[in-house]
Amino acid sequence: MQLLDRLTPRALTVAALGLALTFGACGGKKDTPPPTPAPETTKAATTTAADDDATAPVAEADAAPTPDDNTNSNTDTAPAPAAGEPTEIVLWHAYRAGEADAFAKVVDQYNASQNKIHIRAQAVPYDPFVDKVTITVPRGQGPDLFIFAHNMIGNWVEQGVLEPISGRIDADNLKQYLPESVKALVYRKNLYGLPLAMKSLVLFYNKDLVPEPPTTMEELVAKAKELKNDEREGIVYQAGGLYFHAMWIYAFGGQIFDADHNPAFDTPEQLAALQYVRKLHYEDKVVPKGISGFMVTSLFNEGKAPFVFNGPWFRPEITKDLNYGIATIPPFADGKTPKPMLGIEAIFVTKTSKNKEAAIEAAKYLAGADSAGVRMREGKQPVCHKATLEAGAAEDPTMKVFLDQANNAVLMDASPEMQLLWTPADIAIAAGIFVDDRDPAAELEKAQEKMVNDIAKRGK
Amino acid sequence: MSVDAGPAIQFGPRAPLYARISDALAAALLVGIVAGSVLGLTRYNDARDHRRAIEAQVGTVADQLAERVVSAGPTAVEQLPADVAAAYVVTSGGVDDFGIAVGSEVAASNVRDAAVVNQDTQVVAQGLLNRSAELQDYFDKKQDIPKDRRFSVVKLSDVDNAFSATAQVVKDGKYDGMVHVIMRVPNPAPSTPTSQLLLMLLLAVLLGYAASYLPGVKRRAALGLAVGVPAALTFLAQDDSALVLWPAVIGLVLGGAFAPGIASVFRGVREQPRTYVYVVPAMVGMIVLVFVPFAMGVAIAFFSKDGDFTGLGNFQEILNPSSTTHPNFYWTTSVTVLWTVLNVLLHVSIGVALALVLNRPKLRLKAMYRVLLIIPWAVPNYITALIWKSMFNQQYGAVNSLLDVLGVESINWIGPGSSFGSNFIANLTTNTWLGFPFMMVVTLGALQSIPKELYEAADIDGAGRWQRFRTVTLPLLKPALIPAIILGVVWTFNMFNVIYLVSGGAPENETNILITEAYYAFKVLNRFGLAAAYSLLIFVMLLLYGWMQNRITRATEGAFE
Repeated sequence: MQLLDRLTPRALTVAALGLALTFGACGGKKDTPPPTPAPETTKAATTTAADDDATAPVAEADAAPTPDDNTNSNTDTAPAPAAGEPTEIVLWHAYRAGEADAFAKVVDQYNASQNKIHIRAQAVPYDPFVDKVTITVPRGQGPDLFIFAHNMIGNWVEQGVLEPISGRIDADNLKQYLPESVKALVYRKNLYGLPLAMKSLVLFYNKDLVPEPPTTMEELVAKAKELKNDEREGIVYQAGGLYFHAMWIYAFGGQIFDADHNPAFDTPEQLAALQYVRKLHYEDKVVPKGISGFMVTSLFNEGKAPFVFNGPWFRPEITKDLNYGIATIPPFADGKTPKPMLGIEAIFVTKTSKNKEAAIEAAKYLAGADSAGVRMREGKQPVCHKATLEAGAAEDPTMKVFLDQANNAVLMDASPEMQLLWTPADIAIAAGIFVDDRDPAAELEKAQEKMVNDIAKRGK
Repeated sequence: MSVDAGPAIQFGPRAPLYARISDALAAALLVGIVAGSVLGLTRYNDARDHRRAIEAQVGTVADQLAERVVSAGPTAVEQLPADVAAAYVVTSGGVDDFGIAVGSEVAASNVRDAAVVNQDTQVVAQGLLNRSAELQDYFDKKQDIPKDRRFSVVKLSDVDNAFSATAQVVKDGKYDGMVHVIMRVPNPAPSTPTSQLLLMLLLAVLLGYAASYLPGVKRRAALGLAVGVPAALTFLAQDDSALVLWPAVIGLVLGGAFAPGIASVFRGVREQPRTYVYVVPAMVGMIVLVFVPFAMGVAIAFFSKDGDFTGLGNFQEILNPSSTTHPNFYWTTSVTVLWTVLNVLLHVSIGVALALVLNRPKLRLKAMYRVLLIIPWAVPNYITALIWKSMFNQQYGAVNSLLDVLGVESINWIGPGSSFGSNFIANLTTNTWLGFPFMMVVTLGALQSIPKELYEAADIDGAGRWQRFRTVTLPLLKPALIPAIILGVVWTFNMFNVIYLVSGGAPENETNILITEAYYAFKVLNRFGLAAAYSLLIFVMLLLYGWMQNRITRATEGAFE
């Protein structure tokens, strides 16, 4: 019965019990427990359990099959570890290759440095990561800590995945990180994680074709035009998607959401941005159409792409013998600056963790100075730890580029509404730039209408 | 269900004891289903009404306390209505450079009933401060506090629950903290006690037993009564006459229609126990993996995202779409039907044609051709779908390269700005590639079972090729092809992978079929109820289709005779 309840959306408990009674009877079992009456069907349950801190019952985790009992972590007393035996903290991450090796080293380093907490790091593939976390954590089957980009925070807070850690981290501790990176992890005035690394687009250029990076966008476009021929493209990036297009929106003064948090796609600024890239495609012919991530890699590696806009994850994909450079995305001559979206990779404590205090301790270490140095130097991560990144910027010019770009980037919106914007925006942007007989203004209006519609529908 | 193998059953007055018990059990089972579901639903509704009433009550207490805190300060918490178990006042600090609420503290508390709060005071305080930060944010953004952030319930014991409510303290138009009030509220007694249902199950057993004394149609009618009467009586104590009427009607109908069938299954258990022992593992698997999730899905379709019972609300939203919904249900259904019909037509014609070719006795390298033609079926269909998607790429895809050779200008198949037609054709091509081998294999098998003598006889009668095909091959293929077509239709109707991976619904969800729309409701809108309603509609359509198809062709009988 309990298992059954956990499988159903929380509020359906009694309806499900009624049905379960039916099936119990099917099996000829007449002693099925009757549907339990009343209020535990209320939507107390999973998503709000967190806030029930103040009303949490004393004990009785085994009292009855209410969903609360499974999730109200405050009633779960942590299994007290035997003396000398460290508390085990399970951590999920989606790192691969160099980053994974550096991270493993950091974890080993921490486990060896003390004997109270033992981190068990588990790699989870990137694609199912969000679903796995969203499904397992509210049911108490997830990890204690996990690492992911900050842009899912809004959804995860609503779904009861994340534990707020504000009030449990010293203000001084937070000052070690780049301020923007901490701000990214604040949702509804609570802090939900500690920042590890930042990811934003920068300019990659082929040094054989372009010895020095351009200092203005006009210069970049002119150079691209000059280099473009039948064999070679100009500026190669996935222009038809919101993530890559956002830098133009911000350059022209547009926004994703307006001040009242409504989608702002039918604005003149958005139109100007879209028309600018449309011009790059149709008139200047420097931005090719139909580019996938894989094609960016192969064109750049074959020397057929002088300029590429891409993120730090692109570096391991570039062939060793290619002579390339990294620079910040240049501003326009009149001062307009393209600002890419900034994603913060952070470490989060889960709401259903049984060892939150230990998890927070471990998270502090993994985000802190000792870990950041290894992650930056060996994992090539642009870390959010300020002193480390500044030291790194002095040693390694590319780190400086990431640092400078982070100062000229806009934090990705982390509200649940944002998740509904991607698809309509991608459609409008792709059609508005690349399709002959489409009117960019009409495309944006259509996207705006769809976004507003979907957001209105979502709540019901 | 009504297949009675084994010893002939005596009905009516001379029926054996186990036949009577079977009738009794069948009646009780149906009462359990009908009355149990209604009981579950009424209790759910009662619980919801109860919860709302209490929330309103606790919310009012919290609001009043908040007002008194504004005028009298945190000490206002000393005077509380008698039924409040605990209350807290949290004062607000400010917001630091990062936007994190800081400097809040629990300024006063009044805990009269320590059992309603967690004994770890630090945990309580931290929870309150986090909650206060949230309320401050709702206030600053001029948003209403969502219900699930304002109210919560925690079960205390079997007899009562703790309800809590928070309220913002607003002083001079500024957020100044919050109050949190907890009340202990006993569970209301259910309006229909469970014992009454058990009693009625017993009544159903007696009535069902009695019904077995009647022969033929009378027994059927009596079984209807044996289900309808107890189902209605379960709710007799309630004021609501609909609660008596509907279980009665549904019980009568279900009892009359299904009770004899179910009873014959129970009789079968007695007559051929070994058969049922063999079937049990499969049945358990079916119940756990198919029936239970299915029943859950059906139930979810009637609830909103917040878990409120909305009746047919989700269906109404689908079937009666607003004018801004594009594409709406009727468009999507038309696309789905067109998609299914064209696909199955192509699968069958290509499949049968290839099978006829491969069946020619003199064909060389037959084995190789067969293997080659089965390959599209053997490769997992998402891999095939992704390969086709790349082949439809406008600049680099194989399809346009081929058209280029033929001198046709490149077509924007599935890229941005592509048309409905091109996307649909891309989907159709992919699924045809995936679908024809199955029909071919089925046809090949059936062709091999057609006796050669029939063709010889046709030859002697002077039939030509076409006549031989039409009068011998086709009729004899029918028993194998019809079930294959039914399957093909069901598979294609729900062919999620191809639509999702090739066109992805482009342009603007227009090439979506019903199942991908259901996925959209589930994944993008996060509305499980709406998605379940879609699935239920799909199920009903396919059920009607299968039933009609069966009626018209008598396919199942034909195939298994």
